Amino acid sequence: MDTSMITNVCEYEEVAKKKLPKMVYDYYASGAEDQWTLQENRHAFERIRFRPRILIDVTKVDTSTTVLGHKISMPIMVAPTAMQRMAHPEGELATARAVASHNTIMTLSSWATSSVEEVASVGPGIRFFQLYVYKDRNVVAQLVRRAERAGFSAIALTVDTPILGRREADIKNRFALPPHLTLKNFEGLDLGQMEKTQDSGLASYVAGQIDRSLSWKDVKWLQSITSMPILVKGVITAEDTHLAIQCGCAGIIVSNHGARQLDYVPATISALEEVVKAAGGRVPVFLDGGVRRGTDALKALALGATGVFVGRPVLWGLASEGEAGVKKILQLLRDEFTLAMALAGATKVSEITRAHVQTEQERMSQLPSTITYSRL
Amino acid sequence: MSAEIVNVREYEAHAKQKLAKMSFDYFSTGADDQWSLQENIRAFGRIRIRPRILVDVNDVDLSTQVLGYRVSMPIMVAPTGHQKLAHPEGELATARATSAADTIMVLSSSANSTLEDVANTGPGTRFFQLYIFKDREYVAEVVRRAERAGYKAIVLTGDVPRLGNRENDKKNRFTLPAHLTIANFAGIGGRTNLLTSKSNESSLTTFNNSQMDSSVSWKDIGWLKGITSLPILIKGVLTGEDAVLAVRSGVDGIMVSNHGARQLDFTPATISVLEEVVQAVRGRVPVFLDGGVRRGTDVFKALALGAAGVFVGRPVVYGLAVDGEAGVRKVLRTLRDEFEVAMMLSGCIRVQDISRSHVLTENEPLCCSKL
Repeated sequence: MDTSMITNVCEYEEVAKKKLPKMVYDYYASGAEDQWTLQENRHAFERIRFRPRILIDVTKVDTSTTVLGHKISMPIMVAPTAMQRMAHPEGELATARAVASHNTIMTLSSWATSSVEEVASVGPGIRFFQLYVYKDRNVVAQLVRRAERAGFSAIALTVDTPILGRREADIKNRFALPPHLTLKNFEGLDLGQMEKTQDSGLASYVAGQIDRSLSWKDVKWLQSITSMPILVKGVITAEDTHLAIQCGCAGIIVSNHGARQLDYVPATISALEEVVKAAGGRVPVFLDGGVRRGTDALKALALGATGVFVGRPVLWGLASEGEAGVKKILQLLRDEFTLAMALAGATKVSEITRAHVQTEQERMSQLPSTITYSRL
Repeated sequence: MSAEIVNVREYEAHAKQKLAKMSFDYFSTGADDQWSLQENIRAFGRIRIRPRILVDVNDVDLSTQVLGYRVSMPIMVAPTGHQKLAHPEGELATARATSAADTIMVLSSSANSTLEDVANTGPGTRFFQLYIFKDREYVAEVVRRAERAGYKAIVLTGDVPRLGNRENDKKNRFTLPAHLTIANFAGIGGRTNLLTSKSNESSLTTFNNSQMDSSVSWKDIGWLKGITSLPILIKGVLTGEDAVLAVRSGVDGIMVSNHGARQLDFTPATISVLEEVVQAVRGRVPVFLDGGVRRGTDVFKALALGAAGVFVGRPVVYGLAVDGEAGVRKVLRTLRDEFEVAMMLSGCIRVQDISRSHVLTENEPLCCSKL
């Protein structure tokens, strides 16, 4: 497949769709139920407009920023997406190499087909570990300790999944992890009550083990067993922002789980400002969901995000061309983001302000000029 | 062929059939997902006209003044590059047609014809669009040439510190055919013709990255004023803040523009931000608009929202592609006729009669009359 003429991230999805078995593509691509939020995650970005400032010296545009104390090349990072060896034989290892070469952050999914140790062994890099809290707290504690020992810098705790959302394509396809793959982080664990059941084995068991009773007090428990900072992933309301901060989280990721959980929640970019205002600068706020263009990242930062995470685009790059594909995805986003900053008139990430964008509500609420009637 | 065409939009489809793909794509493309490209036109569609009936419109007069120069209508020709890609006579044909229509042509810095050749087509009011390249001496010399050749104003483009992401040009690896050049800057950068160099990307990007001075800022208006006495319009303002800076910098006019949606995608339509700019300027300098003008009613709406005039870009290029000078004449004539009808049906006999109360914008509810 000739990928040399690809000029944007979305074109990689077409390549990946042709390459991947239907069951795998559908698993990655699906949203929940009607997939309204899946489209909305994209459409909401389109409703935000720029207010570019011209005639500013933009010879040097610096996209670098700091996340939880780590200096990275751009505020665009890799979100946790599960089972990457379904996309490419090297899976999460290819992603890790590509992300490290771009000097940004990779979040490894709990449901990775590579272990934290394997990922860490590709070389230096800043990595976060995404966690689900399972009914067996001992399993959770072991996972967290292994992540710490493997040099991961933070936990991204997923809080929007007390139960898996209904992804209809997976139901129709009877999705199961291909038999030659396994959820590597659960191998070698003392699984206690966990038994291997059915052909899809560990994967379906793990899905059933997610603790529905998970609540804010468990965030405090998690803090007691690790010194890693905890980001809470899946917050979309002001109320939950306050609760997360009260629990001592180190940051919030505004996320609707790639629109795979509850359908008809708002787009994350629509919910971002409410969360940012509620956070009041106490903790950094990040966003994932629907980021496909450098302009999307610029809009998120203008609305108060410290950085954004990309999920599916990384999978499409991985499926198309392994490590090289992920590198290209990140390069495309980086180039577009740099250009967008230059054209908007910002030379540093700190110069991106709320005044660089106009939201739909602002457009509609502009006071109309008084209509004057000519004298009769 | 021209006889069948009844509106400006139809020229685009004909031009697409006539032109090489690479050329048509170059003219038509916007940036990224081309959202602003569609929006420039859609936004006009969201504005309603409030016509006043039973007004004597027998002696309708479309003429107006731009920077002191009389034009037959407030519809002028925007700078668009590489017009010889559209038709062998390129900018010369456009110049003749614009003069015949008794309105203003802005010649692009990216023209394939020299500014002198364009001036020599005959009498006409012309402005010169300028980019400030790194080679300031070269730029200053071009400005002096424009003055000597009788151009009446400089239109400084301020929204291109870098070239926008035009994906079609990248995919086509856009280059100029060997016989065409950027005629007014042919020797810049010490190389004879950067735009035909073969590369892995759009040659426009290559050219732009090497020549464009991305440090250009508001203080360079001062530099420009120091090398010319011609009035200066700043093209590319989209915010009230920049409108204020523009007035303070001493420009003689502002062109609200998003560069035909070819630079930063997701800028609002120019017609959507016109009012913000007009209000920030408070009448101190005239405000013009380009972007998405396809109908006489578009012109009417822009004037109602405070524009002193509008510029049309792509329609002129498509008319040129389809039928050379005759095509451009027909495009300008069609817009003029439509604008005249719009004025008459709205109850306006002079351009100054077009007022804010003649339009309703999207966020204004339809108010009920108190009668």
